[in-house]
Amino acid sequence: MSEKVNIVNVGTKIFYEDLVLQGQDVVQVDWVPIANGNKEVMNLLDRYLDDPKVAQANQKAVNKIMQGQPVLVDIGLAKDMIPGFDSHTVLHAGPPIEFERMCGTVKGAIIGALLFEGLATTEEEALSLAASGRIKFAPAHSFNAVGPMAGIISASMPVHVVENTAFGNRAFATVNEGLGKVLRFGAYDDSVIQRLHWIKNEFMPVLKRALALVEGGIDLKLLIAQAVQMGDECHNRNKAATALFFKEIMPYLLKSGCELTKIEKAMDFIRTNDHYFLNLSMPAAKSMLDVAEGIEYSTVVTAMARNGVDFGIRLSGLGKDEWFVAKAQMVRGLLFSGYSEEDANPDLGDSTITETLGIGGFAMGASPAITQFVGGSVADAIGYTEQMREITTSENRSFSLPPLDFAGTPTGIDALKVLNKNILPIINTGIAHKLPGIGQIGAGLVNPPLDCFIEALRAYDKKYHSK
Amino acid sequence: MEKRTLIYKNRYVDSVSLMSLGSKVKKEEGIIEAVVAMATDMNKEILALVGLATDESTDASANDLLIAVVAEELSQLEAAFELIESSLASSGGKTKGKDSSKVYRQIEQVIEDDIKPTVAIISIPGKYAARETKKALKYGMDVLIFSDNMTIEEEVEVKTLAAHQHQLVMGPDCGTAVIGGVGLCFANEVTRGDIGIVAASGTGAQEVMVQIDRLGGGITDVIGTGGRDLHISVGGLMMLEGLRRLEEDEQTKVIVCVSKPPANEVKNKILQRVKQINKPVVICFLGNKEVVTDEGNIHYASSLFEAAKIAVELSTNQSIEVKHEDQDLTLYEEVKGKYAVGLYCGGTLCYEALDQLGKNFEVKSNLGHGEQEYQKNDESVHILLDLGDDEYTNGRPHPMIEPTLRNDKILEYAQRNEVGVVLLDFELGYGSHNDPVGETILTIMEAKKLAANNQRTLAFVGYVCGTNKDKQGYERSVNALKSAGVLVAKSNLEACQLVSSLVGGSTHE
Repeated sequence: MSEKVNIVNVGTKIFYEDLVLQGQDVVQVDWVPIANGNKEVMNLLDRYLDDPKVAQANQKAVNKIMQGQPVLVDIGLAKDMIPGFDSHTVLHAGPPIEFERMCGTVKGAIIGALLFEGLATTEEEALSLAASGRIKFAPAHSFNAVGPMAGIISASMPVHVVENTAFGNRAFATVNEGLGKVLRFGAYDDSVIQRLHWIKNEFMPVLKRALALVEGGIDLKLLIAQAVQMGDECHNRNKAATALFFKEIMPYLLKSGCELTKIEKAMDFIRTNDHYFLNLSMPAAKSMLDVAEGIEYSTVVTAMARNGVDFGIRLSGLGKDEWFVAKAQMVRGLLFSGYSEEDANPDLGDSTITETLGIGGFAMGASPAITQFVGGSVADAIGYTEQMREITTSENRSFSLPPLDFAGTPTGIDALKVLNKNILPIINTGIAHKLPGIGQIGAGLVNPPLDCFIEALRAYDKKYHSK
Repeated sequence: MEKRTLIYKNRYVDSVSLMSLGSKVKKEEGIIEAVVAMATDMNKEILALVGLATDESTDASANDLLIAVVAEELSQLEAAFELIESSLASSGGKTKGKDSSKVYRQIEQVIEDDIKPTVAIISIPGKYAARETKKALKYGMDVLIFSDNMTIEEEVEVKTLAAHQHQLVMGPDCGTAVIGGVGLCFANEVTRGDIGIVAASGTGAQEVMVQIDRLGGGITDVIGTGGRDLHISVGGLMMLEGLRRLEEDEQTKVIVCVSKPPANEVKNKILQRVKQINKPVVICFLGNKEVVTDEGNIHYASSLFEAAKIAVELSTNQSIEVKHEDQDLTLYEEVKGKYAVGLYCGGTLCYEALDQLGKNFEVKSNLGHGEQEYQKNDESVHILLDLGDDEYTNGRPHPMIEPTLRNDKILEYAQRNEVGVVLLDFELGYGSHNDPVGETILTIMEAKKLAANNQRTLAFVGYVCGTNKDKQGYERSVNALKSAGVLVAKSNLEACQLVSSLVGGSTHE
């Protein structure tokens, strides 16, 4: 046959090399079995990969996500702001988990929350109350809320209220306490509890009055878009976003009519915490993703979260509170000096909501500064973002990435593509010490366990195969 | 003694590369044992058997790379690991395409990069090959499946799919094809011409293309079908599609069809189709016991060499006089009456030898059936072994890739008093080892010495299936064999005739 052949060699390199020897155009595929070589999973996958119903549903899901308009509208106590929240509700990060199975960091934060609420006066009392069954533990996600690391939210904690004005839904997150000894890393000594009280009694009222003055609230989508162009990925790096937020809110803080010393302290609190915006980017992402839940046939991932023991994901086309869980992984990365891998807690926190939206690890290609923090090179970071395009449904033009020729962030993780490409979502994240109260000991990269996606596919098939 | 077992999480490397690497490491000084494999259940068992399992290796999964080495000294152990590391590093990655740094893991990624391949070669574990084949078909490619262990149901499924759209699925277990002048897998570099080959056997196709080249003809395409294509349940789907391709191809003037004799039902279907073709077709049903006569455009050949000869005669319209170069066998009078042992790397060449020698001698072979079936303890009989068979490779690469595994067998048989002749084949061309003769020559000399020490004469007959255009060089290989005292034949058929002459009797026409 005289037509020119173009060859793809799938498998052993020997044949590739001899084709190169013949001067041929040949592409090598260093093939890897998908789904750990599980044929049952491959067969399930093949049922849906080319199904137009699935493709349409995913497009619909991703369109809804991208249409979202997250706006910071208010701050208030969890029990006042979050529907269904009572005095004994305590929310935690990640998928559901019983108190007994929780990791040290989360248990520490729960002790702190119970002390802060006045439900216990000592560590022992707090522990026995937590174990008594009288505290209603639930994933923050079940209440449209998200929390970094331990992610503990109790009744009297102030929460940012983010409204997705395009759809009218709301999402919530606490105020970021800063670094070091903080509740989200499981610390509960006096300094931690006092700071929580200060946030509630002094900081919240100032911000609440300031926000009341901002007409239409503060547009978080715009801030994220700008910050991403300034080198943030809005998960581990929020320097630019926090500065932008500070610039926006400052005039209103000054106009709030509060005592000047209180305003000064509130401004200092935001100005000196480069992670302040994390607790805004997270509920912003949450509010955008929540509207993509419950779309029949959609295989788009609507949440990824960890509780320090398990990693869980949710799919649009499956139940709202249906989690697919597997053991949380250890984060691969750089540790601060003085700490070793034995000190690290497994992957923890709801902050993977940023990756679920397509920022965080997915936008790392536009955040060269973060690569030094989590390890690896700038080229690696750009590679990660490009790779994430392979497992997502679309790109979000609202968040465009200059180093990738202004491509949008990869958006709408498709569980089918994750399995079929054998590419797991990339997450860049902090590493918590496994003992309560020590804090962050490093940062790095981690993936969800493959089994989450396999379990999700099995459940999906169970629901949709007979249809 | 020093030993070490390491697990590399999520590092998949194909088994052929790993097996080659394992063999390479074992040849290093002081290495007692080396396991370089993916941590499949089977490989973990092997590891446990050799006492190298660790807790980590027991927990490892099929996507984890497992490396375990036992060496006499620590420095040798370190050296082995360095060798493994550097070999793995160099095998990883480099791909040619739109983005030279990109490593592709799946066919879809290639398509997404706007590369449009027309042919896919698939050499992954057999149980996954059908899925990748279907993908390649979906993207419009012809597919060559080198992998074996695909179920016959899967084979029927992918071939039916392909036949509907006039696409080719060559294989499973197909080693040889030339498409658009490009040699895929194991193929020789031959002159382009007007003879097309469709073959259900790998080295059978190679022997025909090499002999066509030597007789002054040239080829268009070689389409492999895989050995099971003429099985009754596959029904020759790809033999028929291959014939169709060659029929439509304007450059092809003569078609050669090579396979073992198919079941009657399939044979009739093939012959029916062949009769409709407006071109001469040479049919070589190797090992056919029935009497056949040429009719219409069909010309029957009884050996691979004859198939090539008839094809060239049809192509050039001139008859070819086959000259037998008389070899001086006076040195080997002593081996008359003794037994011959053929140690083959090429499966079809071994099968042809069984067919040829079986006509006059009692021969046992692992390819034989009934009376010709080889049993482990067979002796005092002529023996032909296809060393590419699973039972001999046992997890190592095919002897065409790694011919050294034959060397132990050569020495084993050389020491048997009743053995007078050792018959060896050497395949040149793409895919094959870079110097199969060089890998064997010292062993041949050693074997001769062992026999001489025992006051025995041991004759070596060699056949080199290759051309001077092959990367290993035909002349070079032949000269090396001759200087080691090997009687070199010009075809596999001639090698068989030589063996017959040596041990007594003759298959000369």
